[in-house]
Amino acid sequence: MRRLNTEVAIVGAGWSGFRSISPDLSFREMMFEAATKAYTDAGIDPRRDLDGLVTAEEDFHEGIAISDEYVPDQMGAVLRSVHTIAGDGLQALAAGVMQIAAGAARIVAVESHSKASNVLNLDQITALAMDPVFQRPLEVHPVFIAGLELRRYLEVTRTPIEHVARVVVKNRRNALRNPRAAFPADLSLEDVLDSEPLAEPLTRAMAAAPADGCVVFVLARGDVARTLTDRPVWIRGLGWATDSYTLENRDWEGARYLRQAAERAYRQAGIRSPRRAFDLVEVDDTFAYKELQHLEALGLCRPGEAGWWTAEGATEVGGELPVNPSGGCLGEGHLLDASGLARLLEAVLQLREEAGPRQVPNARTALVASWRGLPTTTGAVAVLSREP
Amino acid sequence: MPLKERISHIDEVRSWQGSIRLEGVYTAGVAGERWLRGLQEGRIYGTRCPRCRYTYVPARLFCERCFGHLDEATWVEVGPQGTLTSWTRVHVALDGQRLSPPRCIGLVRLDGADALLVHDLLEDGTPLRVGLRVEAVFRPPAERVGSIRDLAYFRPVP
Ligand SMILES: [Zn+2]
Repeated sequence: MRRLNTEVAIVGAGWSGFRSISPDLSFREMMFEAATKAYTDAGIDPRRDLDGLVTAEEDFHEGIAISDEYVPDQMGAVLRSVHTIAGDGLQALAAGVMQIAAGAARIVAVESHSKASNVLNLDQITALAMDPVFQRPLEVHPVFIAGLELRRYLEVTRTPIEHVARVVVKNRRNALRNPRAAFPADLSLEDVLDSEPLAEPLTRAMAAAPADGCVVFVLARGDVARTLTDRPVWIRGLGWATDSYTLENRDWEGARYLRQAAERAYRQAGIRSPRRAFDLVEVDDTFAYKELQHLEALGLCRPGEAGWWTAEGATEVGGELPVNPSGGCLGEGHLLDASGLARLLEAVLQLREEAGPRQVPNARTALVASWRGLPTTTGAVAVLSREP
Repeated sequence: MPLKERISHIDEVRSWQGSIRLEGVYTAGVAGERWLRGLQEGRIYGTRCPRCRYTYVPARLFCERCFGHLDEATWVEVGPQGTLTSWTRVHVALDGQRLSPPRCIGLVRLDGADALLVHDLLEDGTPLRVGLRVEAVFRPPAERVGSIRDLAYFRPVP
């Protein structure tokens, strides 16, 4: 992929939540709330201006077959082009960008949500994603994959487990300054290391807890974006990739799905040295070690460096390269298919200097990276900038 | 689906409770069936791609690396010994409840294979470490049904 041949910007953002439970709102009402905010933010009337809608969702999370049919009404998108991605929200962003780049639309909404608290057996639903012939008969909780991968990561990179715990301390503390965060906390390293084991050496505190929420963005073609807002956030590069889904043949060390995705996004954005290219990073931290592994896969540091980097404070909000100033999935809560859009939301607010007490000074460029979660090997990357 | 008047903390408001019943069969496939029959005989097979020099376990009909067809001639026997690549003790059951004692799971590279196989790992007091030599233990022949569980577990090589 070369440079995007059409400029595309994010001109509006809205959200609902995030909260550990939301018994009052239906998922439709959460979407309506987030969409209303996003359309107001963009200054558009969806019934007049919206050309299309792209959502990311998964039927088993919704508990509804063919659930993509349930999205247009509460998004102002009835009788528009509607397109649903079974994947992470950043893949829906990519689909929206492509619709504009292809000339099929001028203004597109991108949406994803989580109503995780409605899923009474989320662990069993995740287990249904395991291979039905070769793994499901073993009847093991899929978190075993994270336990195996964490031990492999520690072994190969010689990273001390304390550095993994440090990610949790940092992100949950960052969340204290984020009103969207469902799980802000001031923890010690011991709190993290001594919390109950899930899949050794992974502890409960190293795993993001699910949360409810919805995120909506409005995308516009460059010329339209300039008429709508004086603070567009430009999408400079996008990439996504899926590794072998088999446990047997996937990469257990370096998250090569994200390395591939990043290479594509960097090429598109013309970035040769990612290490010096960004003012902040929002990256998947569904499990604390994933933040370290993903930073390395993104080429922001060498394999084995991310833990030491974190321990030195380089990834704190005041550090050399702030990582997850929002609090990440650990602090905000894991929004299932919307978790990539939650990362993107923080990056957009940072680039618009609307991040309040956690604002990274002079943030001009940001990197966003997502992972589709257990047991997948899918990652997506977006490069954002205040300049087109 | 009755309208639920729930009383626990999450549910001061009304919600409907329902469940989805989805039943089906999963075709093991040409390679999958033969591989599972192998387990029933107490043997672990792989298919080795001659172009990529990579051995798949379970055996597959295709190579994901070069997209080549893996025919009859590519079937090889692997294991039953191998090397522990990673391991974990899982403390939660599928329903989210605590699992006590925990269940030990290993990631094993069988001798002659490139792929890594996941299965239960027997703890016999040998300190577990990456690089430990392990071996496959099968269920008694009469109990085997052509399932991944015909392989009972891996255990440290005595
Ligand atoms: Zn091959």
